[in-house]
Amino acid sequence: MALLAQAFEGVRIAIGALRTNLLRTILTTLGVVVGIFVVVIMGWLLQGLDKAMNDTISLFGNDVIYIDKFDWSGQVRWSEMRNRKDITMKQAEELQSLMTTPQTIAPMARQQGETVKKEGNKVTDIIIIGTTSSYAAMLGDAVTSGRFLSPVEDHYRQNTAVIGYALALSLFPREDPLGKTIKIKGRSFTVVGTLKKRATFIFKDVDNELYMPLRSFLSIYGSSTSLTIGLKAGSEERLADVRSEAMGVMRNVRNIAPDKKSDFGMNEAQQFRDQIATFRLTVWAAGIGLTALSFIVGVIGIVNIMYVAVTERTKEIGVRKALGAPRRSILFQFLVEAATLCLLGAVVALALSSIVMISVTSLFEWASFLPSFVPLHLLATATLVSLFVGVVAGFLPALRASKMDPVTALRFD
Amino acid sequence: MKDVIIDIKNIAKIYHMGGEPVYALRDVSLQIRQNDYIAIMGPSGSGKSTLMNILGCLDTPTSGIYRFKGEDVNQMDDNDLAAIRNREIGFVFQTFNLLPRYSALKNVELPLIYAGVSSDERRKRAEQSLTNVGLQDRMHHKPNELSGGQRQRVAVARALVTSPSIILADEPTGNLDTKTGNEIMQLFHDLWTSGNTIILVTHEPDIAQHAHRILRLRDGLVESDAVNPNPVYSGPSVAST
Repeated sequence: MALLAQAFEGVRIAIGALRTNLLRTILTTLGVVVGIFVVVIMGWLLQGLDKAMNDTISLFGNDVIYIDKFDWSGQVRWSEMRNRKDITMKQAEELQSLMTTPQTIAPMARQQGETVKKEGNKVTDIIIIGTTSSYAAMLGDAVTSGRFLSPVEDHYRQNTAVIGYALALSLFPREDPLGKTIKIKGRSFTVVGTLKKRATFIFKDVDNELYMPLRSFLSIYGSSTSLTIGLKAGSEERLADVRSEAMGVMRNVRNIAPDKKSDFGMNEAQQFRDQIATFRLTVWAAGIGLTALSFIVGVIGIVNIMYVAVTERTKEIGVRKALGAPRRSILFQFLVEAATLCLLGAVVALALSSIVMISVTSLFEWASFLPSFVPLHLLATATLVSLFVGVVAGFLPALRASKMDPVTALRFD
Repeated sequence: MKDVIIDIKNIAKIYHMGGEPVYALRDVSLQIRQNDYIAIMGPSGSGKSTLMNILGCLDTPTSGIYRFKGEDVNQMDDNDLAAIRNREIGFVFQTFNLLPRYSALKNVELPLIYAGVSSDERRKRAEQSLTNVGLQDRMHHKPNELSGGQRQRVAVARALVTSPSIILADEPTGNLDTKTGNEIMQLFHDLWTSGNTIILVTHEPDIAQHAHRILRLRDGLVESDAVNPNPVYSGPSVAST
């Protein structure tokens, strides 16, 4: 009870002191403001990155292996990969018939920079993917209207297409795309399905994809493209089995001698996690450095202003002691005052970072992976950190105040 | 015989200044009983302030015995002393020592905060205390909006709000003109009449004459300690100015 009354009094005193010395207070809390600001902005970036990473992993599927001519991790030299033999349709079919562990196997072919037309409308820079009906398993619930390609369309090389979110929007801004005809390389295709918005910070193009039956693809673009084979394990636990079986079977299919390196990549969503982790670490390191620096400045500022406050109010401390304030009350009063200063700094920092977050996310499209508000846990972190800094910085001045001799303090002018 | 509140035997207070011992008090013995009205007099350097600080439990003697209501003050630590000051002693200072940012009411409430009194109760008691000194119309004024006499009355209200055993006034009229000073002395007289115990520290003989017992200090020793046969009474208290 008494403690609560004293806490309120401490807050009042701090706000009173802030009002009487506005400029001084602003200058001394600047370090804390910058520190909290950096912490919040860093947390915000990291949260965005984590979300982007999780979105990317779920886009690729956390239980899917992609066998490709290229290794996607960037750890194999480009010149070495470029000269590898293509993965052919024949190899894909052979793999499919030999493997037993995957739940689904889907071969894919890919062509970038294509143009898709509709009467009076055309969209460029589209990625065309030829695949089979089994690819539906890897899309999960991404098909929002219509359906994915069917086995019949596969088999009879029918000209049907499933289009990505952005592509659907550009081609059919005001109508339902289902059943409509579009043209690719002069051939007519019927739209049978559309996909939901799937783009992530790392993969922005996936909403500009168009899926067609693999055989249709090959008849347009020829069979010279190298295929990618998607293997869906069904669960993360089974991934290891699929990985080792795929490695063996694929080496066999590609006739690689036991002493030779594999000439294909086995790509998994996990690799993106590693790539992002590096980026994440950079943000952390930069953030922690900046934060530490500004908090050191902040603590020095608060220690300084609190020593000044204690000296200025020596007489008041004497009066309070004469009236019966125990040491802990005086200590507590100045700790609360320091914590309040830091908390006010945190409020300013949160306001500033909110402005930054709202502006960045609304002004720049690339920033859409970032949250547009201060996440709740950062709000809590900022508050706790500022209270902690306040208590740490206020401790020595408050201790000095609490140990003052009442007789000497009362005599002070 | 009335209860002994303060019982001091052979106390001394020695300061060290530049290695040299300075005897502020050499050997002082003194008893103060319930409803005493005692003036402590002496020229500057007589040890008057030191004795007041010790009596007010702001300081402890170097040697000797100090019992406050039977309790040995010498054995107390800082926090015990703070508790005694809070419960048992009401200070009235020459310079009033009100907190400038607080209203009269908040100033009077302050000792009750440290006594752990609830906020409703604090307010009620502070209002009553201010009413008792005739300041019911000035409760929400800050010290700089009050006259010197009014400020000292706020200080008296603050001293009384915890119902202490002793009121310890250090030159309470030192910063007031004669007329206002007399009004404050009248207020002390009223407090004495209603049963309070008053210690008045002063170097002004006129003011000391209001007390019923006068103790004179010189060079850290009691020079005289006698009943004042004719205490001054300057008429009924004027409750407001």
